[in-house]
Amino acid sequence: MKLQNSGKLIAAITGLFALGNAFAAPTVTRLNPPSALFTYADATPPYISRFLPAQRFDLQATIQADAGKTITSVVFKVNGTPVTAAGGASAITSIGGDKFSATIRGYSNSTAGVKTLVVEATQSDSLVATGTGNFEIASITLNAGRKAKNIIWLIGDGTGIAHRTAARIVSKGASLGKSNEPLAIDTLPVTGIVVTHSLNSIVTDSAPGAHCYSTGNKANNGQEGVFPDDTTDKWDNPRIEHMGSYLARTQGKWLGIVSTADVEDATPAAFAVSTQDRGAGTGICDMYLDEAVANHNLHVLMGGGRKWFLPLDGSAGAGSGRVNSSTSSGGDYVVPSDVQAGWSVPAGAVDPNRNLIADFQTAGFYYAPDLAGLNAMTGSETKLLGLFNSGHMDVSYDKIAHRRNAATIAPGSLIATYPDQPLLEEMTDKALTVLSKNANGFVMMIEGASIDKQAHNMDTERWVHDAIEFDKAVAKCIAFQAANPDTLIIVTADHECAGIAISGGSTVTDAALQSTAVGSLKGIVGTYDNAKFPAYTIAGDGYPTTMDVDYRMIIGYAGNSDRYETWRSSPSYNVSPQARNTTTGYLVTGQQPGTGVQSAVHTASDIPLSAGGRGAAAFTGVFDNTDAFFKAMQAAIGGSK
Amino acid sequence: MNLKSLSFVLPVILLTGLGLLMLAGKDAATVAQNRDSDAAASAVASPVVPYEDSSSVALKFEEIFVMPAGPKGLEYTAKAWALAGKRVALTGFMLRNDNIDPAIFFFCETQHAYDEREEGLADSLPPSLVQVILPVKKNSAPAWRQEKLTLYGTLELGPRQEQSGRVSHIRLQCDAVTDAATGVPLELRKPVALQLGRAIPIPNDLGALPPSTTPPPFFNPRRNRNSTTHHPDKL
Repeated sequence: MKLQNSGKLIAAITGLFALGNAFAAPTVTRLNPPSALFTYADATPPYISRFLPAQRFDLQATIQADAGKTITSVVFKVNGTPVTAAGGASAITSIGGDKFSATIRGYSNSTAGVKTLVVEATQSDSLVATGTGNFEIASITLNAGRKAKNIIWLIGDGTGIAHRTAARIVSKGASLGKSNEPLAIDTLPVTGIVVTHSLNSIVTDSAPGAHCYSTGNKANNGQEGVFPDDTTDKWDNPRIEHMGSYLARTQGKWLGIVSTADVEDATPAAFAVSTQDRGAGTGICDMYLDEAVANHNLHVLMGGGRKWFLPLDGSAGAGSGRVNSSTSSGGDYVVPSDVQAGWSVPAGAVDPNRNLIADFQTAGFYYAPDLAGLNAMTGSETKLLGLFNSGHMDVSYDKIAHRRNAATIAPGSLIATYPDQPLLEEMTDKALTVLSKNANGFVMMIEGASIDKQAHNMDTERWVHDAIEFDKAVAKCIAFQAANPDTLIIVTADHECAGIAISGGSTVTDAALQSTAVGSLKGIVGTYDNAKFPAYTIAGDGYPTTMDVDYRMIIGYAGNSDRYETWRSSPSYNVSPQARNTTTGYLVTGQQPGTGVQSAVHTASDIPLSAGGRGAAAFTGVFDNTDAFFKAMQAAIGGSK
Repeated sequence: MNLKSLSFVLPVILLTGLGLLMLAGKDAATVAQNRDSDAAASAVASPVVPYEDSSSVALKFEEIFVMPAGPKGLEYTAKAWALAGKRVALTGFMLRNDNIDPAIFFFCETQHAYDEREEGLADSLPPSLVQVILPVKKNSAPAWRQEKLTLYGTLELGPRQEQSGRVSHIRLQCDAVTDAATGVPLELRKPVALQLGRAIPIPNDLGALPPSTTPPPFFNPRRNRNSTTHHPDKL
């Protein structure tokens, strides 16, 4: 055959293949766990999905069938071996548009190494679609030393390096070129840098930003405890076993979750809940009891969010009923039967009239509605539920101001409604008391939530104050670790928020600042030499006497929206940066294209991590946020010198 | 129409349209005032009459619930409960959020922001948040205003599941909105098309990017790696 003819033949064959492919649907359009091999035909590391030996996760594939056809059988193969599902723990579900979702729930693999995952889906006309991906089972070095009995994750939400520096300048001071004292965080001996990208963006939100520490895996923004799928059901996504569940069933550890946020919020929920919607509401809180208490040994849950725990119908009767329930039937959860079978969890229910506080109490939990309730504990409690606000707890700036003077109630705060909210260090103290009762140890997440929330709001004084509060919780944990050496402390964040930079110091006194004309406010920013060393005083309660000192610290925001800047504290809480100080401040234009309520945003900047105690030495260098999970689990499972 | 006349007519049309759009964006009250000022200088502008409603009882936000809250939840005060179903006057601020609803906005005691995209339903909103329902005006929706307002209408109490997923506990069927300082009636509802600052939808809020029309490996973030073991062209 002549060369030119062979070329035509090749073209013809290629065309036939192309024609054949055009009719060769079905196709696999998604394969979980996520992998670069499936998405980009790239079999090389870094492997996107990694798991501990025996850590459970779901296998899932979405198959696009030909019009009018169905998918009749699906086989998942790991390294060529078909996976057999436990009874009832698999499903093939039509999800509309001739698409089908196939799942095997609760798969696990105990042999370390990279595994090839192949899915073969057979259509009703016997056509077969295949997809190929991979995942890795991490290698844990056993008998590497003493194990970390207790693991404490402290997450300063949104806390980048500058948030820490600001807290240090304000609470400890600096002079003659040196910090006067370190933060408690600074005393932890090991430091690392963490890369925070989520599965679908360089900029993560708080759900995948915390999910990575609890599961060792990536998630899409807005999702926690799950991989993304193609259904609209927020409760049926492929799951990954949480650290709490894994350590409960393999080591008998207890789990604690403590936050200054609403406990329904992303960071606390990412340590126990499985949903594709971080705003799923009531169902998230139901899962704490139905799944986490039962399967993760959840023994401590504290924060805000009481509204989710109260029945919807509580308001009957004039002026006597509970009316602060935001329980909504739309927020309740019901999981499909394959999830129930594969994960040994109840079905859930649409039950807007559920009294979840009462159900927790029935399950043996001591319930504290305020600080007085915490202080009334006898010391014998082994389960603790604390719900101190209807939504997010108020920030330490306003809590402390109210403690110092009961008449001080910041407009916009909920201090008048919930006047006795504990500080994070007080919550930490009680949580440690309860969890340390377990001879097998515990894992706990403690979140300083409003460092992020007030950085979003560009309310400098309030996020700095909360960063100081967070550091005091760290100090509690360091003291605990000193008495309990087999404790690992990890202090980090989920992402950076607002692009914080400490750009200088004021060149005027606070009195002068207050009398400075709006048009001259920009001129008071001292940079370089003129920043000098802002000096704050600390009151007997451990917090700044005032944030409005002479020659104060100046904060800039790179991830900002428009705001009106006065360089002074805002008497009101949670006022929009565009509505705050409109007549007393000058306009600083932002870069964010946000609509409506513009606020500062998360950034993709790396974040600092500090660690101390058993296994801390591994947390050095620059590493992915999922790596932090495996470092901690090495300490818990294999031990560390 | 030749090119020359077109070059004249088009700017006129555009400028006229722009002027109409700007005009439509103003409050009815403001527009009325502008018209007054545009009238002959000799004509005396008719004074704006403050809204009067002697049948309404003033209700403060702090009078809605017994404070502080008890260990389980909140309770309505006797005063609030007695006013359920009756006309009240509430003074406060519109909540600043970016959701647009043709009839509903939130009202609270202090200036407050709510970023629903960031916070979802886990928020810092006051429990005394009032859901205000205005009569629907075609193609319009309540637009956020910064100033303090006094609202008049019928009070409703009790939990109700809303379409947004939120459960409202206090609602006001509102028939009059006034400037709290002057009592002058205000029209909050503006054309939705002009509320560009709030109306831009955020697609795929759960994080999914719009699908790329460029197939892999060309839309492959991993393609720029310099690795001998990397085969981005292998599908």
